[in-house]
Amino acid sequence: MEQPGISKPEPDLRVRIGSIQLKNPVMVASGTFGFGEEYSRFYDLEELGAIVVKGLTLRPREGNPPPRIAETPAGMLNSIGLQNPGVEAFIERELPRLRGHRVPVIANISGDTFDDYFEIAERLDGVPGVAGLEVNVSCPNVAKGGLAFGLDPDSVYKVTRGIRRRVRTTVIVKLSPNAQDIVAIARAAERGGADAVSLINTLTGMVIDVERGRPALANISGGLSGPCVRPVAVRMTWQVARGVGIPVIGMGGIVTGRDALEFIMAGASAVAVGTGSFVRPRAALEVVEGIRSYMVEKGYASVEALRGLAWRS
Amino acid sequence: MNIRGSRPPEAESKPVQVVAPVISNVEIAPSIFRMSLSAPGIARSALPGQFVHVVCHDAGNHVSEGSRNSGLSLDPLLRRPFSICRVDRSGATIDLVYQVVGRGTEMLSRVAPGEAGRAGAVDILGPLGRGFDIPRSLAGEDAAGRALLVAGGLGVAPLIFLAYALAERQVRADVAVGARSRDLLWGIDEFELLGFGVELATEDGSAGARGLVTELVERRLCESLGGHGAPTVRYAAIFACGPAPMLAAVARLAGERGVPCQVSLEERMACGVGACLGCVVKTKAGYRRVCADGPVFNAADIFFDSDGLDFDPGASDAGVLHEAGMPDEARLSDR
Repeated sequence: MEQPGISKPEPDLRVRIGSIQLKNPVMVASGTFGFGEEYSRFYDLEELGAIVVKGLTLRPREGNPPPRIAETPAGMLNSIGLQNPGVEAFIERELPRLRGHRVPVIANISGDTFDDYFEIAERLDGVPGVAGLEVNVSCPNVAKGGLAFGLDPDSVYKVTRGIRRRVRTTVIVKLSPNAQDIVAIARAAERGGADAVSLINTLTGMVIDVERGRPALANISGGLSGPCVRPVAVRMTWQVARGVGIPVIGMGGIVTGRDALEFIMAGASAVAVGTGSFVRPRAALEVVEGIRSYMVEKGYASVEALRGLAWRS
Repeated sequence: MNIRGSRPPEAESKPVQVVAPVISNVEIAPSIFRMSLSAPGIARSALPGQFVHVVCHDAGNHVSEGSRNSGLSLDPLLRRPFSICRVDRSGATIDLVYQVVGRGTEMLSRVAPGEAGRAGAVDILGPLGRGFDIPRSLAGEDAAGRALLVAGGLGVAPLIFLAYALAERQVRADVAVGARSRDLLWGIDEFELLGFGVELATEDGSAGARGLVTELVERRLCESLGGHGAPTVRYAAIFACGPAPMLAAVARLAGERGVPCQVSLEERMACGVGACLGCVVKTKAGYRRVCADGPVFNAADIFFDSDGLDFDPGASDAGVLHEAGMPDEARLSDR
């Protein structure tokens, strides 16, 4: 109970994912934050819990033809198609600058084959400045790999197990909401040795341009993100967090602290802001502040005290 | 990699997110609005060709900080990019011109003048992007030639800002403006007040020549080569903004005549700051971001026949209403 004259203690926002110590539970989601440079013009990146960089592949990828973006009610579709400079260019050109910021950097990786995943994971393991790997088994916008892996528990087990055996760093597996049973996929990742799972990636969707009578995206379909997906993401976070013993990183339409608290109360140990940064460049910091002020207001001392709170109801 | 080549590294103006009070928001032509905003930081640092990324909502554009989210508008979700049409550095204001083509711009058109943090203010992010490069060779008595500004419809907006900068540098310039009809022409007087001659083309012939602005450009470039004996005008640079088919035609003409040409492009845009890779166009160096590597590009670097460039915002302005954002003009040249 509050006592007059005694200031409330500063809540402890730190969380741990694998061997990564985060100063707060708020990360920025892969593909929404580039390699950090753009948003470093708006705030100090060290204020973030972690940065998950744009998805990397072994070799450079050109990505899909435009249009790549379509707006939807309270959301958007994208079909970027994993445009990225390749893992070597990331290590040479982007990582040195990122290392200058004292914030954990998590490399998001994709491949077309199991061997691709293993090779890129080994290449990044132990590279100074890479705090961990997020394995993208769920990109809806590339023809092979990606989503195909993410829908099948056996493939997710195999890719996770293969990476786990090859690397020492923290391994996070990013799950697709397009899977029939996301809990089964999460358990496969856990059995394969993942330190954590993150969810959700985008939901596959489509917009038709009625004026022109054709799909709005050149790629025909794309990944749905933004506040419109949040209820789906919260439900899946709830199910997965109750179904596995490893930490869950929840994301999907988070713009405010309240949005993030839904995920934490559903069982997430940490959260990520994605599309929200497009709308409000400082959204991730506003989420940190929102969580902190809620904890102060309600007297919660740690994030762990809030985690899964809604389960008790 | 910088495919602009000749261009020095940008003395980049740092973008800011501000809730800017609306000074005025007036319909200057059917469905075309000019909005004046108080934004001292942006007015001070913006360069011609840069844009601002605008939350388009009429129910207040501010969010209370902290855990509660009342006042945050999530639909339409994405900001809309608009070229800066004019800055008044002493008055600390910027002007934007937009056409109502969808829900976001419709809501924006209903915002009445007001104060920061209340209704009547607009959440903007900017200045963003790389603007026009004004070569030194254009300025002064010994200039290599004149500048030709080519605008279609709303493409006038960034060229007005550019015209002010050219006038400051004593660059001599001519302006060619095209629109579907007389009532959709705007901004002509501003070019004329700066001392620039303006030639008009309308599709229906209601003002200026009947036809497309590109026909004016073709004639001017032929004249500039001394087509009929007398060497009349020599153009050392072309600056163009308008629908993609117009830009493609201007780029082709400029290429044929060997006149350096800069074009301001548009594409569906999400983040506006270079992070999401949503707004790419195909260039000779691969896909490049309109929001961060552009919106102004060297015309010679652009593949105008690529898929994305037959751009038409259509009935929606969903994250697409970039600076030129002119559905009418885009359709006009589809024929």
